[in-house]
Amino acid sequence: MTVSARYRLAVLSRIVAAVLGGYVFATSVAILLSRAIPLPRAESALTGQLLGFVLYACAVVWAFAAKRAQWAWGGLLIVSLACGAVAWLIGMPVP
Amino acid sequence: MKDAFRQSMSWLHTWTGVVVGAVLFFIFLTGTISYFDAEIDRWMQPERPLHAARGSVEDSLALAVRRLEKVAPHAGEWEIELPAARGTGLSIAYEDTEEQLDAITGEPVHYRSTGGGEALYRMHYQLHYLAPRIACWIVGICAMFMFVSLVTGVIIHKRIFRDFFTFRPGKGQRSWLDAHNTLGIIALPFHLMITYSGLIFFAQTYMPLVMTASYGSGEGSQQTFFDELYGRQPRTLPAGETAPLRPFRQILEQVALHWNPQDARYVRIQYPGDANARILLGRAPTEPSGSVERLLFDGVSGQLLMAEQPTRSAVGATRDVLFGLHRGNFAGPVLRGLYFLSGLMGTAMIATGMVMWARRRNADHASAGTTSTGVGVVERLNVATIAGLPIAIAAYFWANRIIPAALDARAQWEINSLFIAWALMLLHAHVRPRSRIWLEQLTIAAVLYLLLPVLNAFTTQRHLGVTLLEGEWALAAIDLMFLAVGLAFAGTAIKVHRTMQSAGRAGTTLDDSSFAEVRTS
Amino acid sequence: MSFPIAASGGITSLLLCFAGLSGLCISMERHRRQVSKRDRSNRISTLYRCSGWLLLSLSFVASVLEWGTSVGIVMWLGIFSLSTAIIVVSLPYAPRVFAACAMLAVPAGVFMIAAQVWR
Repeated sequence: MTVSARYRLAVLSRIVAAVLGGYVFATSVAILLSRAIPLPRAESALTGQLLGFVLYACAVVWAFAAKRAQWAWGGLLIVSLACGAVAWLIGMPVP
Repeated sequence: MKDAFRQSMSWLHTWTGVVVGAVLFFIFLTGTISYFDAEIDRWMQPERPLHAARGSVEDSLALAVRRLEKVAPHAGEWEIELPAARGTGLSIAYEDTEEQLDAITGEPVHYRSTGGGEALYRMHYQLHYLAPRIACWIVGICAMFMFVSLVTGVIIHKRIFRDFFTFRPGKGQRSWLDAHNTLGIIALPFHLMITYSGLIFFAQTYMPLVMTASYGSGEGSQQTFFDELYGRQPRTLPAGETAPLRPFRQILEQVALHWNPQDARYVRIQYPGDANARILLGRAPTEPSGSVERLLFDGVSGQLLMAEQPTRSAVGATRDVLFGLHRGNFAGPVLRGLYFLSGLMGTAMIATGMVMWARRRNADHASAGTTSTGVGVVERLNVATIAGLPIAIAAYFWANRIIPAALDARAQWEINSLFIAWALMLLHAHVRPRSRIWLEQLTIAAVLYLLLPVLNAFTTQRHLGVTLLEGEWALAAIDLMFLAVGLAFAGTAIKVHRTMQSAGRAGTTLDDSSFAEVRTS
Repeated sequence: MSFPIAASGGITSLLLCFAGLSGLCISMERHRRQVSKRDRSNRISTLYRCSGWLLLSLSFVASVLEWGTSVGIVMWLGIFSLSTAIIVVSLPYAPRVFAACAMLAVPAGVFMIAAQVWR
């Protein structure tokens, strides 16, 4: 693969990481927040929603700032899985 | 190391801006203009009385109900909009029909049908011709791009405080960068608020899983979420027995215990004539968090059932404040003007960004001796957007005065005129030589806007000669705004013409030194 | 018309904001050079910066007093943007006019405060 093609693939990889991985990251962290925050479930769900786009922006910045393209993917996925797991353990809130 | 970070953020800032710049320019421009939607509605219906009449709330309600009883006695819901200080008139709505009524007689009026300023407002988040769902996603993606662009823009701006007041005109690319930075920094809180609150409006659509993680995805889960958040009363159903509606005087007496009844802005009557009728009265908000200030009454007994949102959680209040700040409904005339100014700055920030990108790419190619069709396409699109969209909006107002008042579908055709004009400008930008498109479109814009008040004088009795003498400042301000915009475009066209002439004499088209300086900073 | 009386808090806030931002602007050497040919010592810079922040804070207080907390904050941010825009545009094109207006804004703002305190 030529240098130019490798560069373009790396950029594309980061873009996909940012767009898709970022969405997964934002949703997972927001869900964790909505389940972990000790407020009535409507308020904590709304808190998660309100923060969701800030989280997404952070993920996008991370995807492009990470030293290596693999870290762009890896970091987002690891945190998403961890948050998802903890959220699943906490379980759905009761009304 | 820090350099690589800055470079990657700079790359991200550039590309999030370039890819959706045109759409963002559209959203920002139509959104900014729609802060004066009610005033524009008035301008676009010159048949309205010059001085907006306002009877008392009680009289207006009586007229509206009388009309509704006549045309929609069995409708499930009646809606009434009351005349307000900004000059909106009395209007009713039932089933899918809307009617404007004369504020004194209560009879339906026959002003020319128009989308008015409200159509521009709707356009800024629903675009047009697209299904609302699709437009919602497009606007949301663009808003997210804008948010990332703002955040990365702040990250890469090296000397925010030292460069706070810095603007150096006449230095080519350096001046464009100064302008772009300044427009961004001066109103940064506004830009961030507008973009983020725009996203929050449809957070439920963009990130539904957050809610379903707590409420499940069953039917009614979303309704449960909002009910829990705002403590709404469960929905009522019609009882099936008839009962007369309580006279409004007694209801307004109870309203007076909460707020001045003369501030009432809209009324919704559910199941009129039924035993379970409900009357909801609302007033315009007076501060950002009060985006909803409504009182709910039993329609038959007149008893107050609920003062909506008397106690609201901090998070719920945050959401309401964001909505209220974005819409600016609480703003008086001065604050509304400041909103407008900030919106224009945001629009100009986007425009300067778009222009800078094209200039830099042109310079890169010129110094490398290459050409690029891609950059050419973007540059033509820039012209068609930054000059072409204002031309299209002028066409919208021209169409309002030219299309015959009696035509049924004229509201749709006014909007079509906007997009037809825009399409024509897009065509113009692609057909004409690249060196002339800026000058030509800026000139067209100048002519269209400068002639609008003249057109107004020839076609209506609501031109500056009348509005200034009679003290109708809102209407006069719109015509004056057209003149100001026209002069601005004319001034810019003259500047471009002079720059082209002097560049032609010097044998260059770009100021290469200013590019070198900017690239290394 | 009741407009001038009702908005006097707003006018005060605008004058003080403009004066304060002008002070902060002049405290920077590059802008001092735009306004006047004479180069001044660093002590003047500190004086301008301190008084600039003071006037800016007063303008914030004036805005909140006039319109209440939430609307006052929003209004002040708008006033801030407007004042900055005026300064940024007048610096390169009319620096002397800007300097004169800035110097007038300080006593004008103080006068408005006094007028309202004594009312």
